[in-house]
Amino acid sequence: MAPKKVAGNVTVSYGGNALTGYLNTASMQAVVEAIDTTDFLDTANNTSIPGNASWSVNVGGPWDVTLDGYLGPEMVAPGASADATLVVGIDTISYTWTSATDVGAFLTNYTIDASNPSAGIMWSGTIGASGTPVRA
Amino acid sequence: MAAVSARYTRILVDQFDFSGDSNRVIMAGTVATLDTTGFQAVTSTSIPGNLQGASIQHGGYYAGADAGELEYELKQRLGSATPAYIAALFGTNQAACPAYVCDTSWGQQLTVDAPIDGLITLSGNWPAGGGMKRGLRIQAGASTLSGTGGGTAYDFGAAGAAGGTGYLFVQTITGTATGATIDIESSATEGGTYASEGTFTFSAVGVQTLTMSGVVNQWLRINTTSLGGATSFAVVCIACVAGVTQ
Repeated sequence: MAPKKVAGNVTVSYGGNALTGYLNTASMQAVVEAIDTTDFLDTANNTSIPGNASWSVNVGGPWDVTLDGYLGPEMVAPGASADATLVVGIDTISYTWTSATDVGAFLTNYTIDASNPSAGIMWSGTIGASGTPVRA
Repeated sequence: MAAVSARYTRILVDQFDFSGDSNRVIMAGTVATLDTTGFQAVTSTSIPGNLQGASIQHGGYYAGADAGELEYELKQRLGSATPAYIAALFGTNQAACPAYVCDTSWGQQLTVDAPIDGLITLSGNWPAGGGMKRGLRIQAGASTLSGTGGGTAYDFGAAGAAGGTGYLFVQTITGTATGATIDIESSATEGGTYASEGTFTFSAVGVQTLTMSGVVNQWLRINTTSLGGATSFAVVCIACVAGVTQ
């Protein structure tokens, strides 16, 4: 099995807009809450059971006016529901949150960083995903 | 490949354009995540809440102690109850570049750094006390207005149905202006009939705001309807259309 490089093998689409051309970093996380079940009989090790999973995708890269048109309006005027479809493609698989009741995505963080006049404007953001993705 | 040089950034602090004295502008905002997870759910669910903690972080060079210099104006607004309007414009190589405005802001921080072998530098933070607005620039300060008439119209991509907000940063006035007026106008087409969405009236440098209501058409421009007796003035105008730019 050969390791896969990122370039050409990772895509992110949010709200029907391809973000891939504005990315140089992407990180998808699923964190399952650990419900502590330790009791007085557990004298050596703590115990736990799994709770719910929470998903999010951290993204960032070179900023562009077109990208800002995708994300800026949503940041300053958040919607009322997680109603954006999010697709993260990794090589031949994809994780998809198709907008539906309790399923979808929304922007939870957006930063535009112009901190070096001699460099490029960069951006970063976090997309919160609600519900369970379909892995295909 | 998408990329924009950071040199195409501007920072406006009320009537002052501190772009030349600044080397760092960061606009950031966080939308609250409201947990809606119920029983039987195996994965957490959530919806977006309000925009929280939106701010513009700003840093630059100390260039003197006088009024109009960066340090003085940062200090003047530190904790001030007088509303300040801060605009960060990105991608200013495009005429109608996006602009983020901290409405009713104040100086939350002033840091002076003095390393032994470096320059004296300043940094501050501008919270969006009255909310963060996003709009497009429809008039740049570099273009001095010396006569009445409509300016260049810009395509906002779509019409809005719920009004919006306009900001006019009056940067310089040559001569004396008394009740000078500039309208924001919109039209369904570039060459169509432009109707006023509101009027800025000013007699001094500073920031003017106006509220647009109802339908705002796709093409927007400014129209200088009176110089108020002034010879000319330089203004930056930012139009924020609800449902379109914000």
